[in-house]
Amino acid sequence: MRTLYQTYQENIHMAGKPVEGVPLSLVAHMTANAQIEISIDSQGIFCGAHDLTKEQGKTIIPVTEASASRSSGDAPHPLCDTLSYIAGDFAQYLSDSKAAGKVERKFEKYLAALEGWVQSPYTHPKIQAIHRYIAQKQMVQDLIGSGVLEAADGKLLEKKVSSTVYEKALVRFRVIDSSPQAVWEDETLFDCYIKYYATSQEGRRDICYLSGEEAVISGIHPKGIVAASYGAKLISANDSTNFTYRGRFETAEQASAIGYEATQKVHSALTWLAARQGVVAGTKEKRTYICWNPNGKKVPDLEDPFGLEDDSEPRSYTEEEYKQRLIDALSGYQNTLEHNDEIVIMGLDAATTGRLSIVYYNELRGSDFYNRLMDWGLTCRWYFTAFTADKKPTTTTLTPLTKQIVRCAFGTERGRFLETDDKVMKEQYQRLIYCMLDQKPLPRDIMHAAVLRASNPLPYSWGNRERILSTACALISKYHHDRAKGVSISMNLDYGNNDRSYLFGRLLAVLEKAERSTFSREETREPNAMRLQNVFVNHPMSTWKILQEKLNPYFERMSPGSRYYYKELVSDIIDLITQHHSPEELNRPLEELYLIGYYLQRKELNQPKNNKEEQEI
Amino acid sequence: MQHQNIVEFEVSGDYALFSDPITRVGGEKFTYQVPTYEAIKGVLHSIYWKPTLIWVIDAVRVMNQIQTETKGIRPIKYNGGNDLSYYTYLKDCKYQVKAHFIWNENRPELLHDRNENKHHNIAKRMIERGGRRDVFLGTRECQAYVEPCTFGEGESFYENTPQLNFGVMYHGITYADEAYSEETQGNMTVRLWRAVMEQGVLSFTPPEQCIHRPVREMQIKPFGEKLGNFSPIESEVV
Repeated sequence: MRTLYQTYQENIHMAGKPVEGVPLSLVAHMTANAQIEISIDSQGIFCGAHDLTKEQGKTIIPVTEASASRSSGDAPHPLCDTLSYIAGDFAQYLSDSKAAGKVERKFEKYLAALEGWVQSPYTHPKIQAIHRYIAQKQMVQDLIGSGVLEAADGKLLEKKVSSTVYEKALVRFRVIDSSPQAVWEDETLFDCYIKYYATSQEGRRDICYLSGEEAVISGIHPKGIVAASYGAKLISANDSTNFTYRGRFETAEQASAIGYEATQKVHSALTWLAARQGVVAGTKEKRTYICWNPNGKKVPDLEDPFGLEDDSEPRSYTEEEYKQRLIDALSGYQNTLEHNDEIVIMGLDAATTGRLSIVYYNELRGSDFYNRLMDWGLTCRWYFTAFTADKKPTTTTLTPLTKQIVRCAFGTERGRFLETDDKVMKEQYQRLIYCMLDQKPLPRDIMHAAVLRASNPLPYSWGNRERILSTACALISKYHHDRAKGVSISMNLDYGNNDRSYLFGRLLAVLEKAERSTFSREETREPNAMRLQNVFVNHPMSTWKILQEKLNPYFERMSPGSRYYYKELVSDIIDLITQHHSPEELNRPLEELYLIGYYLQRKELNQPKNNKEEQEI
Repeated sequence: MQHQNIVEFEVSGDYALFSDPITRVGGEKFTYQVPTYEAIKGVLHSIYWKPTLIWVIDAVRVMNQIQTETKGIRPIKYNGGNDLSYYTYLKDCKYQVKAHFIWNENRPELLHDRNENKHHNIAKRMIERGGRRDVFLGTRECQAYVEPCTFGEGESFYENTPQLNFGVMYHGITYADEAYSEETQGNMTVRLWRAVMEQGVLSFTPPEQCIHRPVREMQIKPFGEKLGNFSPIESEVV
């Protein structure tokens, strides 16, 4: 909370400026979508109107505490509001007399509120002009005249303007002989309203828990902080029957108090951050993560901290090049920070529809933050198959994106993509965030789930198979790095590694390659090694014997040279296995490390011929 | 008071939840980064307390890195049914505490019990034995353990952090029976303070110097044989 308050104070210069996405809204203002724009002159004479598309419609409007959180009551916004509030003649165009009466009451309230502002010391030429125009009570007539609304027989048709029903269409104004013309871009007007509102506010004064000073206390807090759970409030106190605050305290007011200004600032800062740099996990049930620096300095995107996806020209990176690239990318960010600058990471989610909760919160020093990201990037990495612009596969070193890890470990294949249930995605994403930012060791079950999937490749398409395999290898690498306290698994084939699983992994790759090498170009069936991979993992020794037998016809098809080459390779590996391991342990299920051996051996075998020969000598 | 009556101990637990009152009223508890004065006072009450004395917390030293963990909770409602919410806890907590006691002048009937040596020694013994009642950090589900220590010994994670500012924070509640001023007499008063941690040490503002927010009227709870909530020592003798 305090950090958000500070964020607002530091970014106050951004408030109210029209920027991309959602602007940081001012105290007592909010951003709404306008559907109609009316131009008037400073005398309040109608000069034209047109409708607005959704992209044009973003408008900062002044609000009161009551109007900002209105749902069904009739609390008018002070300046720009929907037609039913703002148009004095709206009621005349309605056929339903009951609805007309309601609309009239709304207009009266709106007009009274506007008059109050015009007559206060904080009036403004634009307000006066709008007030003159409103008082003429001919807005609907004017709008029909300019073709924005449609009517027949003196009644409005049930149509929509910019896909909003007439009654709910929000109107904004442009005063054409002033500068700036747009009412929603005039900072002097914002100022006037904030001052007016501060003086006109009546309310209990008390000590604000955020600023520590006496202020007018707000009983209602804004909703709509993150788009994902729009109705949820971060601060709420409406449960007066159960014991959420009752007990020691009798009323919600006793339990805590937050000043109007403070709550406005906190919420607009949060809304602004969530819209600008929020990362959402899940598709329907969403959890939003935000990562920011309270002083408004640029921080990397949490989902893709290394800017990997911006890479327009994929090329092959070796491990060293990749390391250098990470360092470059991160130090670019880091240089903008001073040593003591903080980075805050926050996760927001709602367990029920009404209340928003902070599910992850961490404040880190900038340098710590980048060191941790770097550490994650350098230990959780593997070769991935990427495609160049002309769709040729290349191998590059990458750190899998967090969402991709979750999808590979827990997803199911739907169509071309791997998908996960939102609940799983949310929870697992959070666990990975812990690994990334709190340097927790990678949980074994995540790694294990990915390994299981990688060991059973048949249900997946080729692209997903490779993705899962590489992700699993990255996770194994990370897991072993955590366990071995900093010793990384080498990303080159290690001929001296006599681990049983590693060797069996290599053997599997050789068996696969041997069979595949006899395939013609069009052959798409799976080699026996692939089909039996799952069995191989559980009973490596006996499955190897089956595979060996099945391979005989393929050996027949090979040229004597390659037959010799593969047979030699197989017997080398088998020698190593039998030398270093007792017969009874040979048939035990393989550990996850076999995938590493498999991947590296396969990579080795797939290298162009000339390389291979050099290495053999 | 002739002596300083200082006690020092270390309290540690897997979790702690010092809820921020702002989010707490809605039911989604979210913890402060550091313990509140009142929570540590509660720990001391669990260790040893008599109405004769008031515990005053001098300082808390945060030993471990501040980390949080969120849990999905299904709280049972008072009127039946259940709710769903997320509680955010501090994880792997260890604090060194330095505190002393003063006499509670609001209880003149206990004047004869004001024996510094006795209370100080009992308190120290209770720390060695881990407290009289079970100790928890912030909320009841966060069990914690107490051990004697020398305040300042060992390395804190924040040893090299000159200053961490936590802004305005809840300090505690002054109840009528521990009132120290006219303002706090006959009232329940919430105290707020501006929390600053220097090299891992939170030096608490004494209660009298906090920002005061009177909440409601409240009277001292009377004790006595006639009220049926007090039994004299004679009745305990077998």
